[in-house]
Amino acid sequence: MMKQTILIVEDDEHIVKALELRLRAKDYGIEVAYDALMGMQKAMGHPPSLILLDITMPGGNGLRLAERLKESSKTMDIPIIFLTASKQADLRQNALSLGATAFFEKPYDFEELHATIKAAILHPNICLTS
Amino acid sequence: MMATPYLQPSTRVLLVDDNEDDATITRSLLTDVPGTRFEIDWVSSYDAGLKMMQLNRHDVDLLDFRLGKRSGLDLLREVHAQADHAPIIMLTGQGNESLVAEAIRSGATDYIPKGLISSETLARAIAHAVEKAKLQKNVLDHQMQLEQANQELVRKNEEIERFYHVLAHELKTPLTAASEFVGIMLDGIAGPLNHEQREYLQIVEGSCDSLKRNINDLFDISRLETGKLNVSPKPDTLQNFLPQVVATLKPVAQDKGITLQCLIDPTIPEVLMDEQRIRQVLTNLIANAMKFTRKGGTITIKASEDSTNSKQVMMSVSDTGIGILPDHRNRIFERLYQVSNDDSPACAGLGLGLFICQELIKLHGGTISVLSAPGEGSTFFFTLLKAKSLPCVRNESERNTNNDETDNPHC
Repeated sequence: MMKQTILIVEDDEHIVKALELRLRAKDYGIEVAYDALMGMQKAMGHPPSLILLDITMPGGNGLRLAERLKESSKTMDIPIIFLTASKQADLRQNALSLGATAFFEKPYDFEELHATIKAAILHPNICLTS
Repeated sequence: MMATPYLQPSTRVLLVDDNEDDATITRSLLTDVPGTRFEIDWVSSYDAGLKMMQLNRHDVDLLDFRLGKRSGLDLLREVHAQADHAPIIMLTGQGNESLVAEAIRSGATDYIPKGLISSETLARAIAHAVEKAKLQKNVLDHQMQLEQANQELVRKNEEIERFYHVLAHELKTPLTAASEFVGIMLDGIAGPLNHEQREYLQIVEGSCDSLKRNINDLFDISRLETGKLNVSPKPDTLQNFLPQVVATLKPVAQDKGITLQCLIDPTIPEVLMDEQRIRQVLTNLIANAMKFTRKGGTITIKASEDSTNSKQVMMSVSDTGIGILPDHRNRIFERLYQVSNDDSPACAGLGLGLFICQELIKLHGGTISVLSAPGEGSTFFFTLLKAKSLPCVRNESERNTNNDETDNPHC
């Protein structure tokens, strides 16, 4: 079976490294983008099985990127899981209303995140609001 | 003649009247008024009147209804539509009620029929008009000050919110990296660990967890204070939920030699709860109980019908710990209150946990209370509404302050 690929769009290199180590250990292929623009290019170039998406990034907002990904026929079915350190009111609601699968606040519980990743890849159109 | 109250020592009056005889009479009426000196400027035409009134240099304008071919009412309207002006008193010929009403609607402060005019009525009307204008100006000034203060508060609030947003990002991002790398090492992804290394990393992991809880508590408080902490209660069953919450805390309890048990009445119906928030309340109450319960003790989590209110379910967390002194018990739900006495083990914390629990339960339309005696353990009770009593859920603005301990028949 082909490896599932996860695109991590996140500007903090330590969090990227940690996710990469954890997910590679779970046998996922990993692509990384450090900003929203690079995220868009990578998602369009080789659509991944799932996108882990930060919200507050320099040079572009993760919410806007999710909106654009959901507009393009090439990327609209890719499940998106938001990972954010932001505590803005209504952010969870706004993020999920864009068609994201789930929303995790940092620091996240990796086991819970991994269970959600597995479920989202298996059923790309569900919404897991945990 | 009696002195007219309120009149200032000197009052500047503009008289707009095209009839010189009438103007002379009006002038003479205003001489020798006790308590003030009237300085009167007289103009006889519409245009001169307009010019003077626009300059707004007088304390009051007396305006005749007839100004040659034009009317004093037109002049009143023209001045009133423009910038600030002194209070205007219309001097009417014979009583014409509809004209008077129109003048008042158009911005006149008062009117005096020329036929009834006397030194006293004129001086009193002027005094009242000046005083009324002063009061109106004060009200407007205060209104403006309030509006400015309000705008400033809104701006400050937005600033604080932006700051919290940045603070959250800046605290949580490095904390995520720290706790993730500890997890990676504990999972053996970076290679095998010896016993000592594992033990130390577990200490770091525990520290990261308490830092995470403290940060979350701080943000909950900030949201509570800005009225932005919302809950979304949905119908849910406690029969599955409670054992799940308890299961996540069992390993910690086992490490401390404390027994955790769960007693749920299998017949209780669905309740209205925001699962994430009620999990937070229970976790907080159980963690607190563990903090004050010694090795060999028991913590019991119970859910049953509320015998005092058929629309509610009663939940409780009881421990066999050291109990709470009455002085502390009365203040335990206060924001920033911390229990610390010689009988308590060292208990770090921000003093926010129980306050947040109380606020979250209130947002669910429930109440929280405690019963305890030193040496005999403590029981924290809270209520949740049954799902069928849906319309009773209060929103935040309707929260009451029912946070005192209450006698509970369950105990």
